[in-house]
Amino acid sequence: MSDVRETAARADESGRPVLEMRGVRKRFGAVVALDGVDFTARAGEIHALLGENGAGKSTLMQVASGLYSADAGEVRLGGRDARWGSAVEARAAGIAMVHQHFMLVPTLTVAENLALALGRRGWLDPARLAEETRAFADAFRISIADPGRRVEELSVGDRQRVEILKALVGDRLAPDGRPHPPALLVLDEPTAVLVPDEVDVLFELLEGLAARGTAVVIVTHKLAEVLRIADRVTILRAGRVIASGPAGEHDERSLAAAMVGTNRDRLPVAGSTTAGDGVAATGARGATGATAAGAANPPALRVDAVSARDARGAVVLDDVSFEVRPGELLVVAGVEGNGQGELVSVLAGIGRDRLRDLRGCVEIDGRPVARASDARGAGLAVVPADRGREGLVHELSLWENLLLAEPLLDRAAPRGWIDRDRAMKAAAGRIAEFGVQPADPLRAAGALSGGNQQRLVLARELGGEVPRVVVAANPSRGLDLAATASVRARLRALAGAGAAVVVFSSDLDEVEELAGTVAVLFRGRLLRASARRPARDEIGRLMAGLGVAA
Amino acid sequence: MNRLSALVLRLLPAALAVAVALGLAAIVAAVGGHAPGRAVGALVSGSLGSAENVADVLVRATPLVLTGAAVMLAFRSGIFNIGAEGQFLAGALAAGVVGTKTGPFPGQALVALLSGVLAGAAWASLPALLRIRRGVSEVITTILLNFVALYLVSFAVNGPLQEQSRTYPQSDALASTADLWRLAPSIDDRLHVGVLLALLVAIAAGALLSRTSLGLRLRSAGLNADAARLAGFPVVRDLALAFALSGAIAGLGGAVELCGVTHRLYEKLSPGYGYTAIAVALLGGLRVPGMVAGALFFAALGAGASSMERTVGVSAVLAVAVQGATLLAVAVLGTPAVARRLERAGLRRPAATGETS
Amino acid sequence: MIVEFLAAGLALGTPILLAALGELLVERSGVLDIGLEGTMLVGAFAAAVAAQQAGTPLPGVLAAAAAGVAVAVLFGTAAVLLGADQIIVGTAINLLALGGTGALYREVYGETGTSLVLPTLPRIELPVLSKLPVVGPVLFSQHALVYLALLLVPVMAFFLARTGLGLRVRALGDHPRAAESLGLPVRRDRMIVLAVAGALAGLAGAALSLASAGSFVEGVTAGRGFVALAVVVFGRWSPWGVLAGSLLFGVASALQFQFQATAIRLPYQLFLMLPYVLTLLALLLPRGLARAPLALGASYERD
Repeated sequence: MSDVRETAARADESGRPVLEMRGVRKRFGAVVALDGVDFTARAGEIHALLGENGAGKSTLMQVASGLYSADAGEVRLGGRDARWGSAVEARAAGIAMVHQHFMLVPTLTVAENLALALGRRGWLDPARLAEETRAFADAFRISIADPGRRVEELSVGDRQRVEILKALVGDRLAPDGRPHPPALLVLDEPTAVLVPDEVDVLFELLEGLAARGTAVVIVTHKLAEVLRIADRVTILRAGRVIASGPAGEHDERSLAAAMVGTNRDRLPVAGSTTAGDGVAATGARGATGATAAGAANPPALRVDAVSARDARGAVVLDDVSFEVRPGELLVVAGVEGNGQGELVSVLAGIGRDRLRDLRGCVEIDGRPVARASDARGAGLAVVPADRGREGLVHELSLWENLLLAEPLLDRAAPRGWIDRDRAMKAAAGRIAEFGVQPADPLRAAGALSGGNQQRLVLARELGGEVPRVVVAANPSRGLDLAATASVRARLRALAGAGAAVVVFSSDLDEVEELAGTVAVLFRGRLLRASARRPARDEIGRLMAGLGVAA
Repeated sequence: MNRLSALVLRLLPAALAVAVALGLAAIVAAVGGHAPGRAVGALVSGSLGSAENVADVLVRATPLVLTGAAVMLAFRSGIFNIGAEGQFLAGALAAGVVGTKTGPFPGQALVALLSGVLAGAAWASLPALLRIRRGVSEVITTILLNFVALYLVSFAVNGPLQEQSRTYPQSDALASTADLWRLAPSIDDRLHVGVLLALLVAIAAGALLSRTSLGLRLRSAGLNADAARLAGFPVVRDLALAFALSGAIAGLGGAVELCGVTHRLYEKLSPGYGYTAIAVALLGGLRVPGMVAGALFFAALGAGASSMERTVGVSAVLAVAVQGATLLAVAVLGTPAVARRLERAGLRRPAATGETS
Repeated sequence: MIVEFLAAGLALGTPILLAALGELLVERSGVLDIGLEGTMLVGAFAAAVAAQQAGTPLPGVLAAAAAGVAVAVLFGTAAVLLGADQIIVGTAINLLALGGTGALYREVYGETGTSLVLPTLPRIELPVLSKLPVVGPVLFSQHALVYLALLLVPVMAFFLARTGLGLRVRALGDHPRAAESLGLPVRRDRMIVLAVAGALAGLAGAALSLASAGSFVEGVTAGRGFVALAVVVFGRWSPWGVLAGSLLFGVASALQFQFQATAIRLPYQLFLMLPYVLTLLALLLPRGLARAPLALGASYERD
């Protein structure tokens, strides 16, 4: 096919800068997302953009693809100044983007989704559409499922290939109707939803595209993958470029160190604590290990061999077991999407409502937790992962939201009647204590900013008397520095006061500062570190899936 | 925030409703070649002109207060009950069966009202089941059941419940013990105890929602089942209960109307109370005082429109158009786009309404 | 006898079919317009006024379509462009239409309620087909809107399944954000679809006042707009299913008239209930709503 000729022509240009970004700045409100970032993607290379959650990777690529405009700095595509009015314009100019959340219409067939993307009009013959789809797929050497099947029937890997094909074909048909590969292809966390075999297929596909001259950028936080596929790597942390250069100059340790911001001066030689590869057996039981609290103290929270699948049938929790004693603080580190949300649901007693094949058991003080009312009744406080959806009822006012937990509501209304004045007064105090703004108890919770919604949930769950068990997912998300510090201090204090505390965090600073026993959740499995308080870069490596048999 | 602007905002929809009512009356009168001024005058005097007129308005407002309370309870609980009409008819039908096929016996009226309550709740339980078990939105199902109820009533009064003489499609008059007490027979014979009952039920519904832990559970379950579940609330039970309570109140409305006003069951028992109720509840901001005021407003409008029809010849059905225009205005005033503009003008603050819009 | 039934059912089902096909299109684009009843009613009223003024039915048909578009645009302005709640706006439209047409009717035609005699749509005998023995004269001698409605069924099915614009409509209803990511103007496209459906609802009204009823009375639609809503669900958002549902309703209505005409005292109300009950039963089945557009009823706001 024609792509052979094209390959030859484009391969010559390999190494030519396709996308150049200089001094890009972007702020959202008070948060500086990008702080003078330089980034160059060259033709024919696979460039990994690496960083923790919130480091600015996605924002940078959204500036490149026209979804956001930069506050300052320069973006050039193919040597020309690029200021996109919209994502559609960027796409027309040759920037194809594959989002983490697929933009495919599930009820349309593969071929129809492609026809929609191409803006096909008039009569569509299914046979011809299918043929066209196959021709495109062949031209880009992407193996796709039957073009006549509906997208909702496809596996995640198949869907992703359709999404990639859609991005590649775009509306960049040459006048002769041949597909014309984009100058730049950006993939946001492309492997997050894939099983290992599918990752292999994807990487082959990307290598093929790069070989034909496309600059490929993958946004990721997985170190092993970077080293496997990337020619070049750029590491972002807190909106700044920490390192950029050929991937060959790095190994896993240096990448992990750069990504999580290991302070080399403070740590002993990075190798010494982890040289023996401190990763214990996967699915380890008793991840808390030996604790200072001692075995005489029976656990307040016991999780035994919990496994579950999500609605699609993928395993999201895999034989998770641990115990937390009163006064103990367990920090479960992990990149989001590795089962945190699901484990929080199970601990809170609502696992059965959203997970399939839920096995194992959760006990608080020896009593099994099957429903949320069991957990609440046993004295559980929970800060859910998705506070907007699970933590609050947007239409209700702040003071009402502060009562959204069975025991709190029962206490506020012993005979069914809410003592409004007392509840309001208590709410006002709690709101002030946690700095919820605006501090109007009558306001609807939905009108609050994300950070203030988080404060409100924290105020309800952590503000009252000491709970028996605390489960908190990313407790400091959306908070400013002072509030972050105070929440962490409060979690430590609750443990000190005798609560069994479990904190899920994707933020290594937080993991470190909480100073609890550390375990890591990776692909639904709970991994134990080499020590109760492992070194920072060991946690980073575990979080990134290093040293785990995939 | 400025108290005056808050007051202006509170009154904005109401003022709008009055303006729409008078404006539409004038326009329609002008189209038909009547004097617009006379039409407007008749509209006002017919509703508020005399003690008798006021009593008429109170009696007319009663079914609207009850169906309005049903809609208020549902909407604040995140349930789009468009079926108050059907639940009202189901209640009336059940009360009609009790009132004509049993008795007379002391306390029959109470039994009739209770059966209306149960029938209304039962009528709302199918949409509840479909939402809880099948995830089917209640919008379509409640509308469908309105028509099923309508034809069921029609069937009843043409068949099993038709009067002995078989002359008209209506039931026999209720047994006298099924009639509701008159409040003040010396002043106006139409004022029945249901007028007070409706007010009490509306206040109770409002108190339940705003002041009790059950009310908070009901609202949470309907508005955000995930959050309610995490709170440890029994979501399925609460959601089913909210449907049933809403249906029960509307069903009570039908029974009260039958035992208090019409005394016979017939097809056109409801001129669309269940639909007007949506305008009533939303005009009142889904709060009891506003809702009752809304019911009184639309009742007065209906009474005034009847008088306008008699004296000026402008059709009373115009009142329905006013309901529609008011509802449209309230819906648009509540949109994010318009609300943002009002907020910027300092006229509105984001309030906790419990609306499901 | 059976053929006559079918013919009567076809005629009675036509207003439902026209309105339901329009609603089908709107719902496939993600909008739930329960103001359909009101839109039909305004169409019927406009048809009556224009046809009576002109003395011929055609201006009535055109006026009905135009009035339907106007009502749909009013709905769309509030519910799609401004993002007001679709259910509330739809309810408002119904009340507005019922009250507005009722009051204007009295003003224009007097309060005595003398029955309005309108020029009716002429029957058109299809060449060849109408000459068929038995079936021909009955089934193929209908007014133009019957043929239009029947023709629209395959056209609509083809449009949705086999055309680029049809894909766009389906994308709007199932994943508006994906449509937006391709640069498609979600709200504008939904307004266009609404206008088309409004015209069809208007025509449905014209079919009522200029054919089925041959007259206009207050609330002449008598819930047929809601039947059309039910038929869309019953027909599982497919034009062929909608055709089946509409014919079912038409035949049920024809039976009802038959029973009323003869002295047999059968409860015809139970037949009138049929489309609603069947739709509810269909919803009770597992996967009863499986084919509903995924974004149905949610107003679309950009981030």
